[in-house]
Amino acid sequence: MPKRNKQIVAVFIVLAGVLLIVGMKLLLRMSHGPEEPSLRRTKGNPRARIQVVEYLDFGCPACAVGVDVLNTYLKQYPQDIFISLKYFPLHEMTSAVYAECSARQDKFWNFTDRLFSQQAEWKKSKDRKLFLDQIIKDIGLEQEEFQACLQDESVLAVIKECQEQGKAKGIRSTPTFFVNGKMMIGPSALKSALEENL
Amino acid sequence: MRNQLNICVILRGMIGVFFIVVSAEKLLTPYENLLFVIQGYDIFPPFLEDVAAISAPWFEFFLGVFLALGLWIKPVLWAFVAFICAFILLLAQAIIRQLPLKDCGCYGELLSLPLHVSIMIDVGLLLCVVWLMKHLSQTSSLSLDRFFESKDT
Repeated sequence: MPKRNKQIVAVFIVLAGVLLIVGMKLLLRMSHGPEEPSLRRTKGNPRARIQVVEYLDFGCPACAVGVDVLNTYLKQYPQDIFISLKYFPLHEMTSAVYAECSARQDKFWNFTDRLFSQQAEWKKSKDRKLFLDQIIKDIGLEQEEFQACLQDESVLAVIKECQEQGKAKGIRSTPTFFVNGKMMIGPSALKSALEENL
Repeated sequence: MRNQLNICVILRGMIGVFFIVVSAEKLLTPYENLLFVIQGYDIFPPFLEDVAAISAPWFEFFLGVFLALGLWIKPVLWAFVAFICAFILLLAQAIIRQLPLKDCGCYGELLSLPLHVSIMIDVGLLLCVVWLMKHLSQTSSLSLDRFFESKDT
């Protein structure tokens, strides 16, 4: 009889543990705020059957690969993929601020593609800010508006909001992708998911 | 068979709580984070990577709960030995193969430690668990096992 009691207690503990963890997970999921995708940081057909969200850091080499993979697939399947990029700066904020200010002049993708194509040089450069300023000039942003944007507090707020959304989703590293809502980390996982869905 | 607080009980509680905290953090965040870490070890086929990423934190969690409460202590300690040895082997092969892993992923977001430090912690944990097994009578003090035994007699 005591052995049977012990088994009942063990089953009860397992059930209680599962309920506790699942309950906490549900509570955490419910606490996520609604997401409003900024159309300036999106690309592709908004009604596409494959919706990809990438959380990235401009200094992360795998993020550059991730964007490259997305661009390649989007060229091949323009009607089937919709991409949305979100900021998740892990090391430095300046590049994200520059990207958001480029987005406000509808040049987000010009800035992103250019920065990622020169990421290694940018990271090695002695004055990274100067490097970014050159990109801004090259892609033809309106300078006065851009400088005013750099002082705008709402820019940082947008970046922080993306970061908070990412943290609430449990993101720890970049690039983290959500393909039709399913989370995956790293460009190779993204490639497999795109191949699977296309 | 005295039921009193001793060093083994304290150690048992500490190891149990440590495993509960570490596994709960992994369980409350998306399993894909752990999956990414496991993929970095480059040792399992994709199917097993998924299975390990989903099941390992649950296994850790319940081992911790059962150890802290002192239920089925002996088999739980054996399971701990198997689990920790598996981790040590996993970490050792990653070090030998010089895999580019910055963090073992064992502690989720709570602790980020290089592989050689993690392996030392695991060896320390293993020694503690073996010590608890050697002093099973003291380890079983203030446990559900002892409670059920006392009811039996």
